[in-house]
Amino acid sequence: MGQDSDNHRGLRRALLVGGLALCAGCYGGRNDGAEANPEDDGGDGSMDDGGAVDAFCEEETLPGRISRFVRLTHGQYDNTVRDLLGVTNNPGQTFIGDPAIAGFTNNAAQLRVNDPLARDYRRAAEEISAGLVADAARLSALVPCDPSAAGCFSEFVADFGRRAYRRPLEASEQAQLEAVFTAGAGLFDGGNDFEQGVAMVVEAVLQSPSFLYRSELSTADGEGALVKLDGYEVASRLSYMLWNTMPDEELYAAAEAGELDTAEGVQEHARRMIDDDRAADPIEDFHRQWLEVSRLSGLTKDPDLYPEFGESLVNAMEAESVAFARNVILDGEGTYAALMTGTEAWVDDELAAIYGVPSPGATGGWVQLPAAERAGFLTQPGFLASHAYFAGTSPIHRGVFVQRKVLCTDIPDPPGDADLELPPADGELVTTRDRVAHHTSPDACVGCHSLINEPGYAFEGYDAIGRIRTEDNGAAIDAAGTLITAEGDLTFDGGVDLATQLAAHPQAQRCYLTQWFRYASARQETDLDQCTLDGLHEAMVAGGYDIREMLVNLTQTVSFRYRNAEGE
Amino acid sequence: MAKATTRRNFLRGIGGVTLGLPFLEALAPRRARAAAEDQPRRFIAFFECNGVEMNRFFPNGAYGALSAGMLAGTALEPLVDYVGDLCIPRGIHMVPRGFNRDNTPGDDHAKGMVHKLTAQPCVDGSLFAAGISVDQEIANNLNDNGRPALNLHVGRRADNQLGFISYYGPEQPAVGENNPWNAYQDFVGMGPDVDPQVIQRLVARRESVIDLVEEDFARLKGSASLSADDQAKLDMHLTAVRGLEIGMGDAGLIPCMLDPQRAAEIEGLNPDTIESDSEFRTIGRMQMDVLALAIACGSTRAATLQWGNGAGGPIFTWDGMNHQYNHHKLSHGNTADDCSGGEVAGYEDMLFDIDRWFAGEYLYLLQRLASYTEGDGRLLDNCVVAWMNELTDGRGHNFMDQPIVLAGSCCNYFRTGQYLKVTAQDNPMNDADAPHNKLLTMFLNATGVTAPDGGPVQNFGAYGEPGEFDMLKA
Repeated sequence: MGQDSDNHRGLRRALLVGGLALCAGCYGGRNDGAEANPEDDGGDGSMDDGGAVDAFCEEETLPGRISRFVRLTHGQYDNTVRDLLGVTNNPGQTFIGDPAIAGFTNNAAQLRVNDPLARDYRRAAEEISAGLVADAARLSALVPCDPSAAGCFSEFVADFGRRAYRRPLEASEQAQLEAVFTAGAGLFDGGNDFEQGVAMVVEAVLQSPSFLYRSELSTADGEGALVKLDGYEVASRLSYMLWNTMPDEELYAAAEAGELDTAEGVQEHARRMIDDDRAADPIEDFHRQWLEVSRLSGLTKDPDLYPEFGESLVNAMEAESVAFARNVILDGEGTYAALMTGTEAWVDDELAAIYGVPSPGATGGWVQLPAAERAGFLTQPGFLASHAYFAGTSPIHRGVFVQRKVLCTDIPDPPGDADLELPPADGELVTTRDRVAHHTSPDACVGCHSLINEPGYAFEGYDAIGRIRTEDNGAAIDAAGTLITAEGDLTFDGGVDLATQLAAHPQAQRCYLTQWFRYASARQETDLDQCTLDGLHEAMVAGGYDIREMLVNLTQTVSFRYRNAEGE
Repeated sequence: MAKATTRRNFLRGIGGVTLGLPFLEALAPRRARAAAEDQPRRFIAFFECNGVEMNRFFPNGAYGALSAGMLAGTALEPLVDYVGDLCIPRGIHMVPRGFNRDNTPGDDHAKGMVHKLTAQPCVDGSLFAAGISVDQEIANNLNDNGRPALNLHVGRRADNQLGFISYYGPEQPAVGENNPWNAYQDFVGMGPDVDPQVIQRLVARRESVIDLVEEDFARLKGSASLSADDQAKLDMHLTAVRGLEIGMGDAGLIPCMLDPQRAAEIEGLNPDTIESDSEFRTIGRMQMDVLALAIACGSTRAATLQWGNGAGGPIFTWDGMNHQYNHHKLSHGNTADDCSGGEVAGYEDMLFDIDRWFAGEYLYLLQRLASYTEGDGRLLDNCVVAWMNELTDGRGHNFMDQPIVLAGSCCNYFRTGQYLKVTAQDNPMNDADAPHNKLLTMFLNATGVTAPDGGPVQNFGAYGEPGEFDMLKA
């Protein structure tokens, strides 16, 4: 035991040193930013509207770099053609998939257009335009004037082009799209010349880089590398971050009127947008990716041990994870603590049986779970089943998730020659916990596994499909332990206790913020962003870690309203 | 410049004097019949995961000339009719080496997927490859239409390092298309049966689109100074779009069209089931039809077909197999992916059955390629088809003595009808002297890629050794 404690102390020291090193790096980062940014750009207010560049970082800083051409994700493509054209069949679902970075498939670094995707885009555009000439009502909704009136085609091009490119067209673009319109006559099956012109413009615009990328063409007017985005660029950042779709007319009007040039104006629209139904899409998508819900897809369990586990139960688990996050954030208390401790669950018959509660009905409904048994997403069957073995629980998978995804601890993969096979239950090794502890006890393993195993043990009271259990292989469950973190140890007994303590743990809160920063910014954070993240975190702690407030706050940073032009 | 000319010629062909002639023939005067060494040479990777049952995979008997009898009782027995086309090397080990012997990032599965076609380490963080894969290198050098390699996938796709074998460049995985109808549509010509007026209209529309898109790219690139990364990103997209422009009908040896009945079957697939195990076999066959056609009709000089993901794979319940556990679980002889379960009784036999099944699918691909005539011989003779695996054996995650089977001489580059030990060590299970990057270098030279000085490529990848396995050369 004494040796154990020494070991813990040593580890915490290592973590703290790591943390300090990170802080030093972040400080250096800020200095780097200041160097790249001439001092006279700072205090005179010429950079901005007189307000702070970053509401959460007082120092002059540059944000981390991001591409100026962030391609729409396939989900954003689908939402955008829905809002732009009334196309509701989600053509992007058949597009070739995007690789993930740190668990998120919206990272700008991996959003490229190669040959297969260029073909997908062409195929979708040709199908959409063919659908339009066959659907006069949907087509005429795109035309803001009487087609027989002189100049109506020009008006259509300007209006549609503005909405598709998310900014007013330049004169050369207007002329070019008018030529495309004219060329369309006679090139489609069905429709009159005007309708075919409309379809032609749509088909071309949907393949234009100005549609497919969120282009940020603003350039620095001073000598510094800090570039303020123009109102239309901010409008797109707002709409794709908070809605995963194109801006609405109010945002365009605000951009036109200069309202998005100030932090206050941006904030006002962010608040309006979070109250809109469209806000559900990124919230669901974020939690789906962060919680690794895709691990449920195709998941199988030993049919002898878990005969009820099948595709419909998996679907119910997946639906619950996403519905829970949406409900907490948009309709509920809205705090990180509620996400970690909430006891409401969206269940159908099958999932109600897993929870051991009466079913609200076959098609699903909300129920309250016993607070002694469940707390937030870490005790949901979706997480527990997808972080478990085929034939049993896995403290290692659950513990790694807690450290990596909930606490943002950097834990390396096991070495290539690691033996991943747990010893069988035998003799003194009775429970899964016994077997994991024994298997990971060698010196080469214990460093990482003293961080991993214990938070995993917290969930030993839930079996491999998320049901409560009181025994493992005939022995009583021991779900007590100590979670070591850089910001203090948590001693807990069971999953509810651990989740409840994590809900108030600064490192976990900050990690949730960091995950959102990555998703909302479509990039990994860098040292340059640490000052902003520090300030955001402080403000969030003061405000009770309200997630809706966090989404608003993320729009009030240098990273959101500016970009870093270094290297251009 | 040449590309624009090609498009204009194409358009003239459509709109002008050639109406009434079969579409593709009019478009693309067939290549003059050429001597064998002038035939376009191709590389195809047939890639599966989870290793093999090593005790019954390789031929029986001594190294040297391969005979049908040597395949009897092995996993390769289904290939008996193609024994003269095979070249089976023994003793090749992967680089960067597994078991962490080269101290590079990633676990065994990551390494097995990432290194095989790249000989590059995983990048710390993303675990994607640090450089280009051999199929894309070949395509970059040899595809005259600017297209990348054709990358096809069978089954569910992972979006992390376990899902990809092909890389356009550092940390740029090439995602395999797992929907054969999409894959087919991606390169199919419009065919001789389509009303010429319909083609004319579609071509005119695509012409308008490309003009607009090219001008938009020019505007974006001219509007401000861009970072090198952004420049490269836009260039990659523009190159892809220009590839489409001349891809409207390929100038290949045969029309890029499948038999209409087969095309209808592929079109009839339910897109919602393409990732399910029940379609694994059906879709694999469709992908091979598509792949062989793409090779035959000149759409690409390099292609990959990836069956499943690293550490994954279906539950085999067809062709006499009735397994309960997926390929990865069986490869560990365990009822669980994570080895937490019990031993599966008779798992070695099940793995052997899977290996034989893959040999049968490999055979199907060889048959497809052999069915096309090119020059004076079979299309297969102008290809090298490399059957490669994520791992050597699944249970030990070994990276030595890789189970590799080559078929097709690639225009007499490879010595076929042979079973050859390329390591100088007695035991082929070693990591002493036969790094697999030398085989990748051979694929480049076999297909006709040259070094900047015009001579043969000396070395591919970041690990391993320069040179080739001379013993494997014809």
